[in-house]
Amino acid sequence: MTAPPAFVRGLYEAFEWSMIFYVSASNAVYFFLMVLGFFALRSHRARQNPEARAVLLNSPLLPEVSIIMPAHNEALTIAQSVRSMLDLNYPHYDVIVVNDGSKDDTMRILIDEFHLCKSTRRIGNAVTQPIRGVYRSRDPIRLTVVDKENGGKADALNAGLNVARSPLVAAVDSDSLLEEDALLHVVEPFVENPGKVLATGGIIRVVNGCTVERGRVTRIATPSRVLPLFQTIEYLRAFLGGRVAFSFLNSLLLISGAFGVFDREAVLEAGGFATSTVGEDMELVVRMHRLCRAKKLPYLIVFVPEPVCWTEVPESWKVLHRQRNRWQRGTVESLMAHEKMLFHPRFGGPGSFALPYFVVFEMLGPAIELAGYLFTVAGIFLGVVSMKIAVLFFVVSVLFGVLLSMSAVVLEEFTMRRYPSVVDLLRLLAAAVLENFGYRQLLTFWRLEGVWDGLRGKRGWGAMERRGFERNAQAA
Amino acid sequence: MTLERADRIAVLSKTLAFGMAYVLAIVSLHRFYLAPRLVSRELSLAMSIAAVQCATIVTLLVFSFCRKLARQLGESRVTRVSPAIREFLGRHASGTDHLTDIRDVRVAYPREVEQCLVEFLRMVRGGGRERLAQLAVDLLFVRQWQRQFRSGNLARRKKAVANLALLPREFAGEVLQQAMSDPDEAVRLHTARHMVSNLQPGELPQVFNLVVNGSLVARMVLAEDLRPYALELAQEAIPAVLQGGEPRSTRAALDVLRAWGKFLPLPQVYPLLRHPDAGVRAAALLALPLVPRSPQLEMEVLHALNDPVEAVRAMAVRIAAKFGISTALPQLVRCLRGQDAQTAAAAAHALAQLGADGRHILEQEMVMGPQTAASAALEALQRLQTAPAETVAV
Repeated sequence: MTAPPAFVRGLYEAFEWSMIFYVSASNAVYFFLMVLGFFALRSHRARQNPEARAVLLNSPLLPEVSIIMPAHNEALTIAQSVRSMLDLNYPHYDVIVVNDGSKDDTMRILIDEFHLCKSTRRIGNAVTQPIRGVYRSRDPIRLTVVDKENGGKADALNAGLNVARSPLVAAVDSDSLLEEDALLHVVEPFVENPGKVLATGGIIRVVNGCTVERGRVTRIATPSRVLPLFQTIEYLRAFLGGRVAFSFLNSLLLISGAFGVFDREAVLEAGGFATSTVGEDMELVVRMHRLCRAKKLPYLIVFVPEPVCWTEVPESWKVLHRQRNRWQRGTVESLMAHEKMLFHPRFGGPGSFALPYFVVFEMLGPAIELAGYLFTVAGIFLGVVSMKIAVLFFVVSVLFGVLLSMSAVVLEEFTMRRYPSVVDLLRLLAAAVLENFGYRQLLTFWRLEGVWDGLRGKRGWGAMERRGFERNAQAA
Repeated sequence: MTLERADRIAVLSKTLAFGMAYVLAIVSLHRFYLAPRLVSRELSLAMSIAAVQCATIVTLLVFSFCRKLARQLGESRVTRVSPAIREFLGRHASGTDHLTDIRDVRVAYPREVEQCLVEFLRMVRGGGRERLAQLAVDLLFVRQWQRQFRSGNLARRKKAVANLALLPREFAGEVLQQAMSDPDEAVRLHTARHMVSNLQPGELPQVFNLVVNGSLVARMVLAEDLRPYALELAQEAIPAVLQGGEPRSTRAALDVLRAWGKFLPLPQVYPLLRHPDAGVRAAALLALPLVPRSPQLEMEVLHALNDPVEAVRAMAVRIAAKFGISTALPQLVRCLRGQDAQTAAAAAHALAQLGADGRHILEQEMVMGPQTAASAALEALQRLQTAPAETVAV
């Protein structure tokens, strides 16, 4: 093989150093977040007082919460989800289900199951798609149902905000199950720092593989299928590592749409949920940071590691692909909407650290990672990259992935300990290793595709195929 | 997740220390071991990173398995030895001296003996408890707990306080007093809660002081714990705070009254309806149904309905409905027609509960009032028709 020209060698040298720099920087940042998350979590756990929490539940001083559940074509799970929401261990709350123009039997099921009748309940001023009707139950339960034209999740949440009267509102996906004490856990920061906390988010866990009875998770286990198992690791890594650390730095940019509690007034002042993006959860949180930082108001956006919201994750590659594409588009849209915050000292931690982190590692990361793989392979063929270095580079990158995933599993084991059996622990550890061979690379590709779609302004949500909690758990 | 400043500094220091140790391990391996043996510097560095990562992974794995295993072994040991320990403790508490036996068991199973002794101290009262407390001294647990109280670890400090609070104060009084002035509120709250469970004369005002000067969480938790002492506190401690007039502690004391929901002889609430702080005025209004009715009630509520602050007016609306103050009709109509939707809804419900006159006004507003007032009136009337006996929360 002839030696490559000098400029190719020069190009590869520059590329090699920039890749080394990028990989080192990303490793350092991820590692810093994970270790920070670990120590912050331990400190938080030491501060916990479960006995006091039981007492808090009896206090009339606890703030009222309205749970808003947007539902679109959720006929399979809606009755069980609502029933589970009505059975939470919290003294003052009501549930508002927003039927977002479902084409299936969602509305009929709600009317039949909960004995709904038309209500004259007053509706606020936020602009939404037309409301067909507001219903309340004839039974002594605090349930309101808003039936409206389809307008997307953000529009449904805004309709819920219009009807809600409590100072705090919880946005909960209708395909999620909350643990009994979840609401109390997420409300606690509002009580600890009155007037200062704008939003809190809880940890989301994978329900696939668990046993669900009457809307409650009665036995926790890891999924037996590979795809949900890999996602379990991803969720642990994202929530226990990243979000704990970002919350510690008051730079949390994302409160998962599956379960988050917001100060109602703060959301309304910020203009409600944005209907122009599929990442309405992230966009709202970034907007709240922006407004508070701009006005120099003291505020907190908090991640709470205890409350558990169980969610059904995709079991097919097709649905997972759609979901990840949507998430990535949401991230790109949110980041682009608030690009002015980037590296602006006025916006503190979110502008100087969290947003650049998301841009460099979440938005551009997939492109850089993929370019790294392609250039390395091409370099081997051109004879500018030695095989030994390329393999080592790959090994280090995989090992780092394994380290992060394993740290998340160990973090779970040291703090939350929700998976009781040793078999579960072994399964999680095995998944932490295996997901680095193929799965992670595939996600990188999908994320890149999502970035491209986001930049092109592609719209649409994409359907999630529901299996129903009990069927899902049995199958997994 | 919100942490105190000291905790935040500790977390950051630990993270930095860990990160530095990690980098140091990589650099040392690279410089002192691999670089002299390998031709390429880059290769040596990459291998150092990989090796340290592998070592960390293995350490994490071993550590998590050992921990899980240790926990399981510990649990099975407790199940095995606890019955015998409980037997000894039970007999000792009832008067038979088993100090030597328990001391022997403590040598082999110190944690289990401590755990069982704490359990017994929580359950046993009277002479039995005194004997068990003396046993805790003889077995050197008290000294151990006092040492633990000085630990930098919050969980250990809380546990030490919880154990010491179970003992008669001559053994632990000094430590508990120190704990009540600990810089960390979590420790103060924990101490106060345990003091209340074994309250000694003179400690009640000290705990109440934490209620009125502490955070909202402390207030909520301790208010429930102090519920049995409500009447005692209403004699001196609460009137003193209410008369002091300091906004923060006054609001806190009024919050406690609301949390208790008990009817208490506290005429000092009425003057607070004219307090300069709006928060105090609103809280005082909410507390009115819990104190003896004064002849000034009606006048004060009417005055509050004209308060410049919206939140105070909203509270006044609720109280007017609660006491059925029919002279408040004009003010309620003004609130119904006001800008704030929440106050308008509250006013509509208040009018609905004020008899035929109120309902007549609502019917008129439904037809002729502005949009907010009309929809609030419609909703209130519908509620009245479907659930006349229901107390409507607004």
